[in-house]
Amino acid sequence: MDRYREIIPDWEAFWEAIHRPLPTVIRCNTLRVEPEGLRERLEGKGFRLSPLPWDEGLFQVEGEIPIGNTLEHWLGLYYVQEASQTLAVLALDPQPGERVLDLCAAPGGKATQIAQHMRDEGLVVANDPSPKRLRALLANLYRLGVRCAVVTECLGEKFPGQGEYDRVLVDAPCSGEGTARRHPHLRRGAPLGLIRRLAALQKRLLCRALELVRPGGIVVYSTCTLAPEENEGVVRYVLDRGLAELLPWEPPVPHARGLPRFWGEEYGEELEKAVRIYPHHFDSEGGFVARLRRPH
Amino acid sequence: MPGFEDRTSEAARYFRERFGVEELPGRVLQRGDSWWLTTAPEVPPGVRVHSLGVRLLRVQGRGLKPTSFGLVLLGPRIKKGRVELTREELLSLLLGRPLRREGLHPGYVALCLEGEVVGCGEVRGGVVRCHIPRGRRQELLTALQADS
Repeated sequence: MDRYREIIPDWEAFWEAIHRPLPTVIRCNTLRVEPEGLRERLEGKGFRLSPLPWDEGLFQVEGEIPIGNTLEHWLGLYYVQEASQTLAVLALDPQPGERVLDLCAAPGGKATQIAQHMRDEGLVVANDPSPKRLRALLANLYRLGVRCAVVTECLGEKFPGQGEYDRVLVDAPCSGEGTARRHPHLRRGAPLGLIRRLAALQKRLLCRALELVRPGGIVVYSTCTLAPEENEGVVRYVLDRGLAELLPWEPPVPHARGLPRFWGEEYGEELEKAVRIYPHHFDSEGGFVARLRRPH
Repeated sequence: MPGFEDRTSEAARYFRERFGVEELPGRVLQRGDSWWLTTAPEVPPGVRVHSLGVRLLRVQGRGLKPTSFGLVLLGPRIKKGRVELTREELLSLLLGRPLRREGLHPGYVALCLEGEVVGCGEVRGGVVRCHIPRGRRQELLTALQADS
């Protein structure tokens, strides 16, 4: 991670944060229960719940037993989801009745969150190319009782169609450096060869997403890595080809802006419209979110 | 919808008669032996579709069997065919032990804990059996044991 010393604000706080355990956060499944009702049930079982200030459906949870081992979890009343992982869907801002594609959907945290935002009205296509990961996706959609979702198996970069979706989420496969709190070996940073290979795939996925969304439609590109090659570099690639315009987005949490340059690569001042999340900003993991629009 | 057959009226009749459900919250579409409850208006063409909404029923022999996920989804809409269980009775069923209950109509039932539907069971000859799939059954067992 040393190569990020110059770009991460307050490096010492960042380094200290990635050595701390990650707090457990749950997202209330509002298709099944209201946040207050869920809170009462879990507090009745001895859990301590603190709502996160930017979303009444998110709670930080502490308790004596694993939060995934409750009747309420089994019934689909909530989803265990790391706080920073909830931001991409806020940037996507899906509306009831729309047609939304989640191109890399497994295990389903964001697909179920999209369905909740749409109040289960409209179409959520939850796609993933891996049969093994699809099992987890299906289990979560069924458990949370999502009726508006269609689960498909396809390589994201080959997903068929043209201009059919109002919104597309590309939560791309990435090197995962932002998850170093859960995966300590990533504190060293990901190998550059892997980062470059993933960046090539991410460019193909984002290009495809921009063909699948209707003109004027929204595409959100997100990762859980800190590597600029997988973040700003991928967004720059589609901007250079005139495939998208980058929209400003203000998340409801402390954050940093996207990078205009890194290691001799010029991404441009425009990339400051994108958002970087660092673990020390609100005790989360790290990641990147960019909100794009397909030109008319 | 291409590749799917609309079974909404048959499914509505089944759930009205067996479970007292007045209205299903969506359309029911069949492909193969699965009947899906969905609000999705369409499926994307040219791509392999694994599922559509929540699997509600499966064709078994000549009859239909409700899925546990489907019954949990219908939850409070289920007015009859409910078998209320104590925590001990549910634990016993989950461990594979049949439960004797007199006066119940034979057929599939909604197993309930503290008023909440938790899955599919079957009554035959005055005996209740659990039909929650093995993996989900183990998870529920773990959750109930952790809770107590």
